Formats: sequence, structure tokens, C-alpha cells
Amino acid sequence: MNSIALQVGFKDAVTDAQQVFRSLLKVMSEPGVIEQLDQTDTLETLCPAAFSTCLALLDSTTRIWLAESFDNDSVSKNLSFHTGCRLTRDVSEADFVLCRADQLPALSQLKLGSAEYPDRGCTLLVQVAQLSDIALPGATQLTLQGPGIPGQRSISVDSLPAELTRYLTERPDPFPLGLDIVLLGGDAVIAIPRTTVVEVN
Amino acid sequence: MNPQTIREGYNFAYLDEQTKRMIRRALLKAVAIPGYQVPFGGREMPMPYGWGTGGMQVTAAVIGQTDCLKVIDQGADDTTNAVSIRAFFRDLTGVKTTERTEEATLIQTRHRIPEKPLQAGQVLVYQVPIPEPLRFIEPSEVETRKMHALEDYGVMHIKLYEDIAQFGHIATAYAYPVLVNGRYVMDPSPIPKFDNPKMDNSPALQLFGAGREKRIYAIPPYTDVKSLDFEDHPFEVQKWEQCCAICGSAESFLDEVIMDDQGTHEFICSDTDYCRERMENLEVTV
Amino acid sequence: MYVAVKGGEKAISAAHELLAKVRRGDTREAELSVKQVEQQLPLAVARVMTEGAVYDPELAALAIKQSAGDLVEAIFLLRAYKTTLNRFGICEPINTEAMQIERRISATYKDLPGGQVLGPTFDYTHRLLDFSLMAEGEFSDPSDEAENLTAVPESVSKVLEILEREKLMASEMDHQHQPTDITRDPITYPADRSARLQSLVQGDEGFLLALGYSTQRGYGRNHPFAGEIRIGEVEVSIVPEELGFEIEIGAVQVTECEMVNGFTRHRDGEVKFTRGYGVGFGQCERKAMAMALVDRSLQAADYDEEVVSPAQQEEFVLSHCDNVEAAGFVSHLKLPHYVDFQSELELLRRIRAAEQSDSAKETN
Repeated sequence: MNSIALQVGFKDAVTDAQQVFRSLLKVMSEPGVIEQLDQTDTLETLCPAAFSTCLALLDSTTRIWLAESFDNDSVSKNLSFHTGCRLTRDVSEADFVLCRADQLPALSQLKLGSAEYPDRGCTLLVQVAQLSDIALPGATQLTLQGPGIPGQRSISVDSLPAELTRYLTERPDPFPLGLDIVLLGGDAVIAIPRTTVVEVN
Repeated sequence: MNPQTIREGYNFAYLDEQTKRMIRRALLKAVAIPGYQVPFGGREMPMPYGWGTGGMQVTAAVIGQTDCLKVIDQGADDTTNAVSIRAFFRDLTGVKTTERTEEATLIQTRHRIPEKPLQAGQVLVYQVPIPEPLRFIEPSEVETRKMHALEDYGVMHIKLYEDIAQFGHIATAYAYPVLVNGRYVMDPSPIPKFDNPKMDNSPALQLFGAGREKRIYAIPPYTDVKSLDFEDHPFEVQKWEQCCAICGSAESFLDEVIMDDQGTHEFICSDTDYCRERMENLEVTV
Repeated sequence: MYVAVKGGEKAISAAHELLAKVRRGDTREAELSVKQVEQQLPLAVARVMTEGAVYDPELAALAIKQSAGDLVEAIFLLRAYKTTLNRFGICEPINTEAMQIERRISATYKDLPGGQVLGPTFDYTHRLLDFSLMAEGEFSDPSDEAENLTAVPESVSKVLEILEREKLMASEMDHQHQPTDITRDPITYPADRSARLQSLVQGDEGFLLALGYSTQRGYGRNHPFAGEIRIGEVEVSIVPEELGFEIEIGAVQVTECEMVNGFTRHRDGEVKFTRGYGVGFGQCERKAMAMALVDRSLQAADYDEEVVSPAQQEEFVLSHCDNVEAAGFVSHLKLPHYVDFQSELELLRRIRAAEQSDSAKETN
């Protein structure tokens, strides 16, 4: 049997999980705000912000779908070991989808829940090259409006895939349905929930 | 049992990590769908249902070592249930507690929003008895879920209009329904309607926990919250002819206290921290 | 000037001291031990375990002692304790056919394999206060004859299965679905049978008794016969993932009631009896019977019966049967409601003032 190197997750399981969650709560309730998640190291190709988010949210009751670049023994075994999460090959039943920006699954396949239970929809975790609240050269500049935002907020996302940009600007699933998207780049995290109105500058 | 032994025998903030994760996932969905009630696997708490178990589970899932906690019931820090819940979290987390609104990072409340405007970064956790604003019009959960899904709130408007026909006023003085972000009708918990305007575009994050009914909902900061009304009967808040008998405030929500067997009454601020601060400032001025 | 009253924390701690004194009673009397409660109040222990949803006679006895005999409070203590426990696994379904029978009766057959075994029951006691129990006297063990009368074979076949074999009874099918866990996921409506049964097991005995009774009086009548009631120990086993085979981890005493209910035409076109199921920890016959009656009435939709009575309304029954929830919400009315009451007072005064000024205008 190939031995897979298990990597250290949170140094303090209770405190780190709480801090990561508080950051996620902050970014989800104030779209466009950047928080730093450096509670873990990089896990192979997975950036610290993405690894921390997984450790804080996943467990044996959640199903996660991994895109190609993360669907390897090192990432999946470590995630299973630390969280007990269930991996699924069927993207339409996943509670969480974790992918790199260039390996987005077909967004129309993701679980949406129903008008009665819109909370049963999928949370999409996308690892991008870089995130900033000041304009990065060559990156996509987005202007956000909606709940959690006084007036408007601008963010800059390096390597935001065109399909995701289109989803965000066109919002094909009418509210209360919709995907809640968490962008992770290095130590940084931004969330764009289904309520956010997005424009490309 | 002293706090040290309690902390050694129990998890930080009582709940196990898996339960906290489940509540945290529900909270993230709740802020993503403002005003929508997310079902969650509510647990038995060591306090009775109806005494704030929903608020406590939310607080337990959110609280961290660097938080500073304030707990109020009826606006006051010293009512017995507020004292009891504050002691519970002090003993099971060791976090700092305060009675000062501006010092708190996390405020758990029953029935009031503090008078002092909340600031960005603060989290207000409401204890909720009946999360469903349509429940007393339609008792079936299957039906009310359908109404929310279809945005069919006709029954609510009819109920409010019938009040006007019968009493000349909308006969709801607390738990007055609001429309969140133009979509979901939401029960703001039994706060007096006096407090409703404070919810609108608040810089603080507002979280709601209903333990017995196993629902969580939320209002993100800077979100439109509108009290339901009619053009010819606009929403208005309570007013008193009297001022607070202690600090003289004419702006705060007042509690009535009976002074003698003849029913002579006076009015005092329901928000004890607000009242105390005003008194301190008055003394300084004198 | 008005001066506010303070001192909540001291008042609370004083209340706890007074409660401890009430619980202890007259200190000239010996203190009740947890062991005594466990051994001598086994039916109270059974109820607390069943509705508290934890099989642990010692902890249930402790809860009864701590709650000064308030069983709903004891149930609450046990539930709150359960919340903090880790889960190590899920056991295999218990097999009540292999029960070590202590009591087994059927009201549908005069005699049957395994026989009628009365066992320890109040049923035929004359309800006359037994003043001899006031004196702490000698206790004599049951006679050999009494012991022999309750000796039953190892495995006793189940009454409803006899009917099933004759194709007269609706079959209970194992659909191989993972049962819902109502302690982890909130019930949503319509609920599945596993969620319903779990909720009823934990449900308040008094509430279910009243609902079951209401069906007998015509509010959702379902023609019940006590097909079989059995009480005894059953084995509990688990299959650890790393072993892959079953190992026995202990035994629990349970009471099971299978009710035979009125026949109807089933979806497969055949006319058969219907059935209701009740179960609980320890000796809890009244609860198991009431549960079986309510389980049957909640199957109304399966048989296209018109849902008109409280016991048939799933959402009504399941969302009100838990006494920890119910007791909490009723008792919360004791908490201060000054603010809401003040809001109502203000509104009522305003409405009355407006009406008085209107009628004054009319008089002028």
C-alpha cells in the first residue's frame, strides 16, 4: 500500500475552527470583504485558505466533489482523515464542490435545493490565483451590490473563469435559488452569495 | 461545581465540534438567504426550550476566546435569565463579559435591541420562540413553507387589515413582521415594534436562533428591513408621554413599574446599560 | 425617585440552595440512594429512559433523585446529558422475536405457541392500598410455582407473523433505507415512518395516551386489538467496520406492542388487517400501547383514510408530543415579558383613548 503523507491540519482544532468560521461568516455576510485564513499550511495543490475552509466546514454528514487537480490521494486522504467527509463522484449530489478556477464543473449540474428549501443548495469553493480589494493587473474587476454591502464594493480576482463571471452577472437561477460561491486564493477568502448583484468593470 | 471543573468536563461553549459545524453551515446558508428560515438539527441544551436554547446554540457556535459577551433579557443585563445565560457562557468558555453595549463583540438578546446604535463588527444573536411569522395565521409548516416559496403573503396583509378594521390600528405591538431584502417576510422575534427600525441597514450582523422549532435565520449587515404596513396606515413606533423616572430619557423604550396598591405607575428605561450611562454623564455634568 | 432592584445572581443561587433542601426533605430520615431508586422504582426508571432516549438505569435513577421525583424534569436531565455524548456507532436492529420473555400476552387468541405469560403486571391487582407496605417488612421471594408459570421457551414466534403468513395482515417491509435520525436532523413534513416512530418513542406518555384514547372514542377510529404485548430482554449488537461481523455488546429490556387494526383494501388490491407498532425501554406497557394506536392513526394517508382527527394529523402529533419541548415552552411564560406586555398596554390604551374621543365627538 502506498503510504500517503498525512499533514497537520489545525494546530488547535477548537480555536482554529472557530476563527475560520468567524471569517467565513464575515465574508459571507459582507460580500467582497477579504479575510485571511492562514490557520493551516498548503496541502499539496490546495491553498491554505481552501484547506482551512474544508477543515472548518466538512464532516461525515457532508458530501464533497473534488475537481481533477484535487482528486488525488494526497488531498482526498487528508481531507477524509481530518474531517471524515464523504467524497462523491456525482457533482449533482455534492453539498460542497471544490475546484480550481480552470476546472469548473458544469454549473447547471450543481445542487440547488428547492423553492421550499433553498438552503439545500451547493456551496461552490473555487481556488483562484489571487484575490484583492485593489485592482490587480490583468485580473477581473468586479463591482458588488446587495445585502451586506453599503453602497458598493469592488474586488479583483486573478484567473476568474469566464463561465463563473457569466453565472454571476446573469444569475440564471432566480432567487431564493442560487449558488453561494467562496473564492479562495492563497491565504485570502471572499464570498459572493446568491444575493449579490455583480457587474464586470 | 466551579468554572474550572465545568470547563474541564465539557466542550468549549458546551456543544461538541460536530454540532457546532452543523450550526455553522446553517448560519452560512442563513446569511446567504436573508430572512429565510434554515432548519437545523437543534440539540437539547441544559436549559429548558423556550428559555433561549436557540440563541444559546447560535452563540455557542459563534463565540471564540477573544469575544466579549453581553447578554440581555427585556433590555436589561440583570434580569434572572440574562444573568443565568451569561454565567453559563462565562463558565463554559471563560470569555470576557460586559454590560456595556459598545464593548461587546457578541450580544445575545431576548426581546430587545440595545438603544445605543450597534457598530460594524458586532454580532447580535436573538432568542426566538416562534420563528414563523405566518404561524398564527396558518398552523401547518407544510403550508407556510409553500407560502414563503411562492412569495404568497396575502394572508399576512389580510390579517393586518382586519386589525385596522376592528381596532383602527394594526393590533401587533411586538414581533411585528418585517420584509427582508424585499423578499422574505420574517418574524423579528418578540421585540417591541419600537425596535424594528433599528434592524434596517444595521452595520451589525443579526442572527436568530429558535431551539425548540429548530430554525436559524439571519440578516446580514446593511440589508433592507421594512416593517409591513399600508399606505393609509403607515408603520409607526410606540411613544410615551412620560420620561424615564431615573435618567429622564424621552427617547428610549420604557417599562412601566407599579409604585403602590392604587396602581400609581412610573416609567423607566428597559435598556439598563443605556440608562446607567446617561446617569453617569448627568453626574459628570453636575 | 425610583431605584431599580438588582441582585439576580445571588437570588438564583439562593433558589438552588432552597431546592436542594426540598429535595432532601426531613434529614432525620435516611437519604434515598440512587441504587434504591433504580431497584425499587423500575417503572419510573423505564419511563425516564424511554422518553429521555438513553438506556442507562443508573443515570435515569440519578435523574429521578435529582429531580425530586418530577419525571418530566428527569427526562430533560437525561436528554441534556445525552447531547454531550460521542457517538461510536449504530447498532443492528434488535430482534424481539429472540426476546428472553418475561411477559407475553395476546388478546386475539385464547392460546398460542409460547402461551399467555402474565409475568409481573398490575393488570389483575385490586387497586386497594396495601397497608402492609407502610411497614418495612420482610420480603419473600416468589414461590416456585409462580416462577414456573413464567418459564417460557427461548424463542416465541410473533402473533402478527402468524397472520402475515396467512396473508391476512399487512407486511412490515424493511426497505433497506438508512433510518432518519431525529436527534441529528430536524423532522420535516411529511415525515417518513422511521422519523415518526422515533418521535413517538420519545413522546410524552400522557399525550400519546390521550391521543390513543381519542381514537377509541371515534376521533380517527381504527378498530384495535392488542395482537401481542411482550416484555423482556433483547441482545444489542454492532458490526464494527474493521471487523465486518456482528458482536454482542449487551442487552436491554424492552416492551413491545403490536396492535392488530381494522382491515381495509390495500394498494395491492388485497383486503388485509392493518397494524400499529409501539416500543419502549423497560416495562412501559401503557406507553407502548398508546404509541401503537397513534402509529396506526398516522398511517391514514397510506390507506386513503380521511384525515379529520387530531391523532391522524402527523404535524400536529409529532410537533407537540415531546414533553421536553412542551414543558420548556409552557414554562417560559414565567420569564419576564415586561417589554411585550408594555407594548400591548400602550396599544390598548391608545385604541381606547381613540374610541373614547370618537364617542365623545358623537355625543356632542
